[in-house]
Amino acid sequence: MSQHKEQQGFVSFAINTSEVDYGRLAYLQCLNVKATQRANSYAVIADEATYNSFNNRQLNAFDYVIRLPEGFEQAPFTAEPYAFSLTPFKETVKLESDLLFTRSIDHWWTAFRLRDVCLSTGAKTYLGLPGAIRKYRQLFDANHLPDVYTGLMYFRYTKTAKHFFDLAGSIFRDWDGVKIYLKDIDLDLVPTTDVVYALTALMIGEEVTIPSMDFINFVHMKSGFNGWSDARSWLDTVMHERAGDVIRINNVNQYDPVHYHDKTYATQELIEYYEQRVLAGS
Amino acid sequence: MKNLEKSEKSTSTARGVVVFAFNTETVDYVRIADGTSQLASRYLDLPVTLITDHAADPKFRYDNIITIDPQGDNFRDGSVQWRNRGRHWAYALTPYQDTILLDTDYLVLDNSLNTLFETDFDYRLMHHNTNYAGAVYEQMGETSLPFVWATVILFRKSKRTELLFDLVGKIERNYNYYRALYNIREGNYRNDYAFAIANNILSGYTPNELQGIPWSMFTIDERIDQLLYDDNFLYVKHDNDARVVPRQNTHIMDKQYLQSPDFEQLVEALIESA
Repeated sequence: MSQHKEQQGFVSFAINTSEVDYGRLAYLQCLNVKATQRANSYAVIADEATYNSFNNRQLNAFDYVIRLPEGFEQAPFTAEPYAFSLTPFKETVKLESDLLFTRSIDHWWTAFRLRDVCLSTGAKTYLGLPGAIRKYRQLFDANHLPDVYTGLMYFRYTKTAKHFFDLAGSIFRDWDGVKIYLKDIDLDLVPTTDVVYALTALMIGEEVTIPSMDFINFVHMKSGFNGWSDARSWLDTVMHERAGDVIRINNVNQYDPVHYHDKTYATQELIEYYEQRVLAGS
Repeated sequence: MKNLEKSEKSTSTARGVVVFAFNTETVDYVRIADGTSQLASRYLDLPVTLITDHAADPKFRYDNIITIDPQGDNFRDGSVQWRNRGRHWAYALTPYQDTILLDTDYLVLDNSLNTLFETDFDYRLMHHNTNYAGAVYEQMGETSLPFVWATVILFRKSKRTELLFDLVGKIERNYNYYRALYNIREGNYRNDYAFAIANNILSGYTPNELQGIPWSMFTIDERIDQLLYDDNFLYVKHDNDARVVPRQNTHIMDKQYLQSPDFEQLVEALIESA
């Protein structure tokens, strides 16, 4: 039986840690997708512990709840390449769970379909400008890696996509053998999805990114990325409020997806707002 | 919100310059305005209206003089005093359809501002400022929004512009609230901040820089002993220091220089040579 149940949809991973309830973030994101997108099927891929933590309300909101296979690597990031083999969609937008949409991106799918795999390139500050601060990306710059951010990416069921995820999986598994070829690397660095997918993109080529389409990215709310001190969360640095789906940060409306980064942004009040919007109407 | 007014409505007879000048105990702003207004009148070939208080005794023959009561004082470094409240009245008081609203310390040395009247706008603000070192004062505070300069404002009579000035008045009246909301560093009320905030709100909570004046303002922050010029350059002298900069409209922070005989001579020479 085919793994694919629908043509297109969104997928996120939820693997809870001792500090963060990623299942809850995915639930908020699922409601947000339902409220803002016309193509809004949503699947969550969870480990067993997170799967067992879902309540009925959450399970009813998700269109698909998929368990990671037993024996998947314990470091949460290394589960990412499973997205290809577990997604229920022929075309998937894979999201990090701490990202919210402020308006429809239905028209992005048309651009995504120019590629088999499309990683978002660059990220924006809350002012809507390309982020210029590179202190988090020194490894990328030193090794001329494409400036990809895996908080939002697209792939569809093709040989190129399979090759991409197989290669990424092998880099994760063989990290000790790969990292010695990277310049200016901290040898204790745990491989992040951003680094591994950037390496994979470098090997495969530009066909897995569309850097010229600079709207395919998101606002990154890491404080330092926006020119503020990393000593404080952006939530403690500037005002924020909402007007419907639009998030207003420091008096600037956000029209791009917002990677809110500080998990405390996902308040119960916000979840209830979207529950009223989405579940009450279902 | 997009521009409402088109440039074809603009005619040279409906245009003019408006300057606010209120003397304080330390600075004769009307005297400064007399000098800078002569330059604006000559280089822009536009009528100039002075908005001042009843005690003012201007020497320049302005096309119009409107007297109002000044409100509120500001101080910097315990010495420089200025009265900058009520700038939002410019919209209601200007006798012109299209207005260039100038600070008294802005020297118009060319015709560039007139070229903007050929473009479509409701209002245009100055979004960038440079000095000898390059771009300066890019943000209103460490965690605030980008700076906007109210030193030079072009506006046309329109509903949107009226909203802008009304909003500036509201921000002025409730300045402590807006100052906190926008993380503004300074305690003094500044028209720069009020116009930046009003522009942000009126533009749907975006910086809306694209509808601003499409070049950077040049400012001399330092003390000036003497200012010389030729067709291409300005020569700025102070003590043993001298700087050469391309000739352009210039914002001058040294109010003592602007009240000096040297500045009066500079204005006379510029008017004669224009």
